[in-house]
Amino acid sequence: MSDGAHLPLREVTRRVEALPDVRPLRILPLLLPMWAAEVVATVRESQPYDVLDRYLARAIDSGLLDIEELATFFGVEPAIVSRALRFLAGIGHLARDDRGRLTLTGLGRRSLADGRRYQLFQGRRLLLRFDGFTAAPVPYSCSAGSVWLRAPELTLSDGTAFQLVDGGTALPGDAVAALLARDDLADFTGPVEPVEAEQHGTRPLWLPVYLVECEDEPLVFGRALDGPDPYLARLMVSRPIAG
Amino acid sequence: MASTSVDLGHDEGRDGRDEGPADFCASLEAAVARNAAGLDARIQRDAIVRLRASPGLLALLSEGRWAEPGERSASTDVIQRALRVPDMFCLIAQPGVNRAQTVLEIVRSAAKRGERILITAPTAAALDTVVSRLPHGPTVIRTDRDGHLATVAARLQRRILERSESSSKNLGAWLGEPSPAKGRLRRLNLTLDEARRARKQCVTVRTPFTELAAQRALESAERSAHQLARMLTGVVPVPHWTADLRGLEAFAGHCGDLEPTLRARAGLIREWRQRAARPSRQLHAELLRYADIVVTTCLGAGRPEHADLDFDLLVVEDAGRVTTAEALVPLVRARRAVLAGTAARGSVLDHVLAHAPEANRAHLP
Repeated sequence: MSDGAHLPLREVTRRVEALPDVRPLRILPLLLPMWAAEVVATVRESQPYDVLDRYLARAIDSGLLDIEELATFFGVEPAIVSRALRFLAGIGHLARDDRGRLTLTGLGRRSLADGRRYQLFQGRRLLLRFDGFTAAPVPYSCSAGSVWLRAPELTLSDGTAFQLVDGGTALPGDAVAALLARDDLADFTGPVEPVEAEQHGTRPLWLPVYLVECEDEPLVFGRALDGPDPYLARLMVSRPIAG
Repeated sequence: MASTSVDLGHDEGRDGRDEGPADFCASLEAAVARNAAGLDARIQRDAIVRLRASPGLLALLSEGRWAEPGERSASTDVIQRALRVPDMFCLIAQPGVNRAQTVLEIVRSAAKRGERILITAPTAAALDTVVSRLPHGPTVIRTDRDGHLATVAARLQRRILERSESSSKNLGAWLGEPSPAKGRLRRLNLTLDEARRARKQCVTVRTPFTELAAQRALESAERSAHQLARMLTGVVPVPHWTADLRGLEAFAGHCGDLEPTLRARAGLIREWRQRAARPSRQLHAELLRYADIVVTTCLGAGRPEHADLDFDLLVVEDAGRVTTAEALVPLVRARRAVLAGTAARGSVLDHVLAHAPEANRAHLP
């Protein structure tokens, strides 16, 4: 393994020494057991609105329901309004009600409420990651920039060998469903939020981290953050490491 | 962006239309690798990737498979024929024959039908002739000229401010919390309460004084209703109302129902005008997406700002000087295309003409 697989130990040592009021006792390179659930999902991606699309959606929400009316209201050519509406309909924000009038869809309303232009895409393959101790989902802030290993072994070129932490448990069958039901789903999936997912498999992964035992609270360094990762620190609480 | 001439058929030693789609794409890639570099090459390679996902266009270019015409016409009018084909039309003119007028008529007719049009040519100079004669009215954006998009956006913003002024004025009375309209509505409801109370008193103690009080309250309510009706004028259709107690109550109820919506619209138009009053690059992407006509060079159509754009009709002017790989860049962004020019060996026009049915071609005399 090259140093590119993780931060070298000397870099972590440098970072620890740079922290005020931290008195490290020892630094342990560890491999944490994790899970990856492979899913094929319909995802909701978000983008910022442009200008006209957002104002048109707001106007439709306030009851302006036809192209001429909207064009007059905003002072924009009907052709431009018509194409902007076609665009909004194309991304699933607009529909026609049973009387043929424009209406915002649920996705359109949610976009307007959140001030973000959402769009649904089907058939995206995603990996949803869970920790191997409690089967809780891994926050996006940690999962996005971390190193994930398919095998429980890692030795860096400087000789740093990562030690496997025991105590992993199985991933419950409803872990993905429970994650999708969470209000704070975006905290775990980032900007691409699955709204429906079909699980196609589960596989173990290992996350290399540095546990820094200190005179006070221990710190844990992963690859995703420059400093100590509070999520990883919480995960390691009450997991005594031998040695 | 210079046009590089690639003769695919001769380069590969065979006629491109006899190749399978995969071979055809591979030969295009090879031609791009030989004849283009840097950004131009990347743009053409991206277009080939998109071509692979466009079965209709790929079948037409690689195997000479043309779509069945949806509507057969006996028309000999070139413009009507060009607009009617579902995939591609070749407009051939010998050197020295003026085809610009025909191209402009095709563009004008398509724009009139509400179609979104992309006009391209191998060079900016070739576009100048077309652009200078485009009809007034449609929103035209030229992306091969720096600053043109910003100029059109600024012009649009000025027009928005002019045209939305009356919406803003009409809704002015509904703006604010409480708005003048809401104050007037409150006054109407108060006077209606007074009128109802006075009426009740009239039933128990009928005196000239109680009758007068009821009458005055009703007159006051009527004045408020007239003012509210003026505030609705130009905003929503003003309902018919009568100046008796029941009619005024119905009108007050109607205005009460409308007030939150009109307050929201008044706020919306104020925000919209504030937005339109300041320069905004954010509008640029939308303008490109919604403009009637976008004009750029063939390779310019592959720039990142065109990534997600699509068009109802593409017109490639001077297509006799455009290679197939270059022409792909705008072709993969349009549902139909008209290729206009003098067929020259190795050009896209030459390539397409080799198998184009009679219905899909016209020679200008």
